[in-house]
Amino acid sequence: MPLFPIHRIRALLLLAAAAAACLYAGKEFRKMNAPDTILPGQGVSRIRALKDYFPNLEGTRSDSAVYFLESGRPGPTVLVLGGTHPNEPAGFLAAVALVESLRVKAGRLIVVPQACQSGFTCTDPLEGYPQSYSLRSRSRLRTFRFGSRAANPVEDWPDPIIYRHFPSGQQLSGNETRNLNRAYPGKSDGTTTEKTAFAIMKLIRDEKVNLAFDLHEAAPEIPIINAIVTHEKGRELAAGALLGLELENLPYALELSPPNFHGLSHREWGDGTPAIPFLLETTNPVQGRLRGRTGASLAVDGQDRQYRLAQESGRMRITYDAGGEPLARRVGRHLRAIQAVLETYNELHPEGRVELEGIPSYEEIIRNGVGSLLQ
Amino acid sequence: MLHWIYTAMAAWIAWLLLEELFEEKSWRIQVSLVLILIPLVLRILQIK
Amino acid sequence: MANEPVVLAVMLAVFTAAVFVWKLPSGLALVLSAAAGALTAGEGLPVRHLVEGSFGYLDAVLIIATAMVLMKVVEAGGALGTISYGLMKWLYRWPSLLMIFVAFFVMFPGMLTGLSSACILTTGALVAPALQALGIPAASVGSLIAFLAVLGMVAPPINIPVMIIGGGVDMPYVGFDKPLLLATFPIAILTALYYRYRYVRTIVLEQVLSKLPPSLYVRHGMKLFLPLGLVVALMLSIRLFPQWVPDIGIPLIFMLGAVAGIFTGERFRFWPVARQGIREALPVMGILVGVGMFVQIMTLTGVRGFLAVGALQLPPALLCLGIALLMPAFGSAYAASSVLGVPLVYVFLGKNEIVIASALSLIAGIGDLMPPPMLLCSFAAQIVGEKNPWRILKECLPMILVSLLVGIAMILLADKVARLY
Repeated sequence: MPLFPIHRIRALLLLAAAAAACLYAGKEFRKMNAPDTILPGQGVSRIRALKDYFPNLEGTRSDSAVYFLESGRPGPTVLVLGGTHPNEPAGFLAAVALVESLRVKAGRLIVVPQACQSGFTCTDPLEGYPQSYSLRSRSRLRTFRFGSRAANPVEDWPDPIIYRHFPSGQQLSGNETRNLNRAYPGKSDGTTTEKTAFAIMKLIRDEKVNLAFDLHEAAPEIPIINAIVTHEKGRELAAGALLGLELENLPYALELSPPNFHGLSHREWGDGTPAIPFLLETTNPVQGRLRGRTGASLAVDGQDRQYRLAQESGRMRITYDAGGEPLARRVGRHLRAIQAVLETYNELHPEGRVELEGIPSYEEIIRNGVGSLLQ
Repeated sequence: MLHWIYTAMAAWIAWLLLEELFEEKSWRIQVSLVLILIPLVLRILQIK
Repeated sequence: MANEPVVLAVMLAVFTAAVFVWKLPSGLALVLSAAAGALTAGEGLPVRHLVEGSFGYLDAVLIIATAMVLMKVVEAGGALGTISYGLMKWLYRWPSLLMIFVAFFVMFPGMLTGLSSACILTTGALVAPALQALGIPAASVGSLIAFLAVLGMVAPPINIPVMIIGGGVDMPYVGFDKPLLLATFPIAILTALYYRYRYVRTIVLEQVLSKLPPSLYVRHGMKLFLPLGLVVALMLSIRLFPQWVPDIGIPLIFMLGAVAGIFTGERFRFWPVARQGIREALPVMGILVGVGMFVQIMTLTGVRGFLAVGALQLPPALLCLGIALLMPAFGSAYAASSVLGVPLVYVFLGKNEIVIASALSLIAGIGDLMPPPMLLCSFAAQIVGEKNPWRILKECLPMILVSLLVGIAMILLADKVARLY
């Protein structure tokens, strides 16, 4: 038999082709390791990182920047978390908008725009997601990563078959192991995701956070949408905010955190820290299961024919506007809802107010687009 | 720890697949073999 | 840039041509079909998406590879033959009992792991020679274990499709044991009896035993069963004592079993046996990689949403029929649970959602048998030495029909079912 029979030569050629595919795709995948550019505005007084609260995160994909916007005047400390799920861009962008445009006149604001930094370094297989999307800001074209719902599997592979939440022992499907919003209160010697959750809990305690917001989006078919989900102790504030939002024609639903569903921010932040937690949801067709063609334009414009058809069929409750659900509307809702909760807080606590400046009105955001909030 | 055990297991499987690739005579099966190698190699290299 | 129905038609046409005209392996056919779909939709050849899709079932690829290595090791060591031999000798007098025992034995790994393929690759492969020796044709044996694998996946305590649905609707995995038991055990018994009365008459022990490999129990004793015992013990203890036993994952459990098998039976050379295992796992691993790419392109081009919304738009009278036809058509229990299972729970809002999710998981589970991937049928074909997995699917049809009827009945009568337990 010759040393290089035809099938071996073919094997070499096929291997070369596979190597080329690996190189090309690998280069694309590695692009997602490059951090997003966030341009701190005048309101930012200092920048720390999650590793400052839990040094174990140093040098991992999960360490993430923590922006402080401090007025120097007494008032409550407010935490805003974006990017818990990096495939929910409105939550991330609303937090970035605060970092780039907000000024705090009383109290202080802490913003973590990319809570699950690891999830920004990959996209979910089978979902056909774009790796990035672009927006025109006040001065340039800005491009941001569109990540995955969960942390990068490269860090915590393999997933167990069943995810057991610590410490409750509650069982969920194994892929929820990398879901930051099922991992609270976290674990110092747990998975990377549990460590991230642990760091965030520590941040809330160390910084004596009074009010904490976790910004999310949900598929249009999920009933908890355009909603404020809160712990028992946030009921009064959320109800007040809801009234204000209603008057501005921004209807919201109030959902109380189920006491027996563990791992979620609105449950564990509320149970385990003095902070009053609020989780905000807007409608996001690009993460929905019924969506049609998937791509960057769907993430930004939120226009989807399949959702329109599903809504017209009337078979289930779909929160989708026939004209689409653009990012401007979703980010605008998040920013407006945060302000509404804080306004209610100020009414109830005139002695220690938080005052914000630099966020345009909801109508202005709709008119000028999300880019108008970014430098 | 478990992570590296699984990475080693993936590498071992990839090696067996490579051995198969060079022994296999049918091009159809050879193509299937390299397709399976792609995700294994990218995971072993911790790229995806 | 074509619209979704055109893309879907092109994908299906290319797949069909690749399998039936060009005689390509199913995995390769799926890759070609995905590429054709992307091109038709105006996405060019999206290499990044295709490669990313290949990761969709990477963990399953490892499971299949290690499971086949384990099975080949257990076969080479002599345990496989000895178990078939022992089973026959023990239960040959009561064919009905034998078949029911076999049914639950095959389902067992799936009940523990939530993975249908685990049933075929472990217990299914163990009993297949015995069933064939009873005179059941190869394709029918394949269909029996393939179908029982579906039931094993759906049966409690672990049902991953329900967990996927639960993850989408924020419903913890609590209270599913009884409805899942109700959805699966009666069908399992019915299936066992159906095969018993269709194929198995009185069993002449000597005739059957002569067709099986010899028992090596006398030579090696209980030690022979150590690898499989280790696998079962690990699976069980991870479920029963999660606070003490870490979840090391199915592939590592199988690998540990395979390594133990080197020392517990007949002597053999490990490396060639492992390679044989990988070679036999190849078609299925190819399908898993291919179906990942296929689903990724379906999602990217909007075909997935088109199918899902199409199902939801059906008039109420046709909805249940639509569910029964479309959910399995996803060709994957997990994909169907995620894409259709989650919205359907909302469609049936107001009925007992635990029963609804259980029923949907039964219907979605059938998808693992269905084309394009025909995962379980291909596996079973491999195990029983049947060349054509379509024959196995055909043999499964009566039981598939029964399961769909049970699933639909559970959906329609969800509240009544909930009152049963």
